[in-house]
Amino acid sequence: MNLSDLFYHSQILSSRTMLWMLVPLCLVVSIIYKTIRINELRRLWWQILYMFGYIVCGLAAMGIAAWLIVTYWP
Amino acid sequence: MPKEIKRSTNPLLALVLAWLVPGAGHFYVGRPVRGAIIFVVIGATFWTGMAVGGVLTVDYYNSRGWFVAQMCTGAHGLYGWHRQKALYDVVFKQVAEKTNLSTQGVIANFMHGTSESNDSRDPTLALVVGEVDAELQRQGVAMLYPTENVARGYAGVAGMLNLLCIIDALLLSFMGVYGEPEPSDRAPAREAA
Repeated sequence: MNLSDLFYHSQILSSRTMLWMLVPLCLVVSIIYKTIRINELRRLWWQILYMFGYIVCGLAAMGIAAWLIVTYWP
Repeated sequence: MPKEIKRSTNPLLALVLAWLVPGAGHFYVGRPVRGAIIFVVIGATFWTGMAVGGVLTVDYYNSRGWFVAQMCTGAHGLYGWHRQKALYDVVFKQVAEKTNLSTQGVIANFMHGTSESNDSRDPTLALVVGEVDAELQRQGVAMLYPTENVARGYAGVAGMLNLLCIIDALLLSFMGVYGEPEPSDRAPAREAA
């Protein structure tokens, strides 16, 4: 497959892959949000990591809570 | 208190630049590091979506909501739209030959047939939509679940994030703010000097 094929034909993904593709999207949201919001650039990467961790942990917590409700709800 | 240089910048130019080339608006208002980060990250996110979903990631006919979001990426979105339009032009001509309809008739039927409010049972609509879908599948460009969600999500989120950057560049330009603010711990030393 050459490069133009990569951007022309669609790829086949599984539902599990779709879930994992959320992680880089969270990183992208953190980078852009902090890039435009932060005042001092030297603190940018720590702030990005902090926000990324916050989003991922929040999503994981909500996922676990939803799984517990679905599994153990009477 | 961060000190920022005041210099007049044109808000309209900042708006157009920020939309057309993600990050260019921040370059224009004197924030090149932020501009470079935005340029790389928005571009990489949009083209990751295109790599996953292919040419139909930007799809004017089938996903209008995502299409509007994707157009916020400026040149990236416009190029994606151009590629999608070129593909659909070929497909519509082929379907027009098969169904004995004019190309305009195929487009009108396809747009009506794929609209979310469509509840018509017109056989022509079903025929045209079916033929177009079959042709897209034959060419290997049709997207299936969950590829379409990932691809359009990536390209659409890139657009929405660029919208944030456009608003930021526009506000900085309106406020006449030019350049990076100075680090806050250096400001008292300068004031003392």
